[in-house]
Amino acid sequence: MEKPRFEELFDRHFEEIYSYVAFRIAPDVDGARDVTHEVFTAALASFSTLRQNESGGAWLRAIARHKVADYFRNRRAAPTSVGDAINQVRSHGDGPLSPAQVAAIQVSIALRRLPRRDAELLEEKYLEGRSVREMAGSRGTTEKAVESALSRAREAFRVIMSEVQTKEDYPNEREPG
Amino acid sequence: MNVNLDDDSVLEKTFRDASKAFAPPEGLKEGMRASLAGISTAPRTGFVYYRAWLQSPDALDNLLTRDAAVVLRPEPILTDLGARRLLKTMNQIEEEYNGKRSMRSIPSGAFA
Repeated sequence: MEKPRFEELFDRHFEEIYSYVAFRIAPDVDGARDVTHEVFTAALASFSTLRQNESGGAWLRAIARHKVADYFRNRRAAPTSVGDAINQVRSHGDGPLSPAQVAAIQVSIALRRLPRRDAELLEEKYLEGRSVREMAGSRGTTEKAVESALSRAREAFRVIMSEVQTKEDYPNEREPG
Repeated sequence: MNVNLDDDSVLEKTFRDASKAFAPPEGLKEGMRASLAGISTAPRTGFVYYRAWLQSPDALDNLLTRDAAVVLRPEPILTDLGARRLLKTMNQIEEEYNGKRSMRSIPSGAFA
């Protein structure tokens, strides 16, 4: 596989990276622009480290994940309610949010309410599609330990998502007008 | 929207759908492309300035002239005039943001 030019990587993955960042740091729409810009400037600065046979998309996603982690580390934003988040995102747009966007905000907020370690595990497994073996290897632990940690993280996520979906009041975005 | 999260495949779909829910605003891609092109062709001026702006936009806005500050705002165009003004302030910027010096080693034209 030939190494792509940086511009090709940018053209191919810009939307994906923006959407990922916007989802993870929702409802901070301005922040999503800034963090996405940080991702690509960091990628540009270290483009020479992208290896010939390495997936450019996976490389960019890893940079994006680190930049999102930096974002949370630097800002220490207070937990946001779903209603507040929806209103904040809506104030940047032209109309009501789609059901997919409401669901994305729910997931984003649920992830933020999890311990960081649990959120990272879930993201690696279900968003990046990493195997338990890979995750164990990068953590220097056993696959069994990762499976157990993932099980606990899944359960915690389900509990929080249930609360987010059923107990929080927020504007009904699905009804037009 | 309630979904059954007991199923691993549903959980995976929930995450993936969420990560695709937000499209970038119109014009952002083009603006960012221009910014990256400017950075890669003017590494000494643009990139150090940009990194410093990310670290502390207010401080840099005070440091730079209004025209120069426009250079790497969201839809930046690195004009000759802006680049010259940036050069004049490079010493100030580097003094204040010394830790970012190593970040300017971008090959010229990497994005062009």
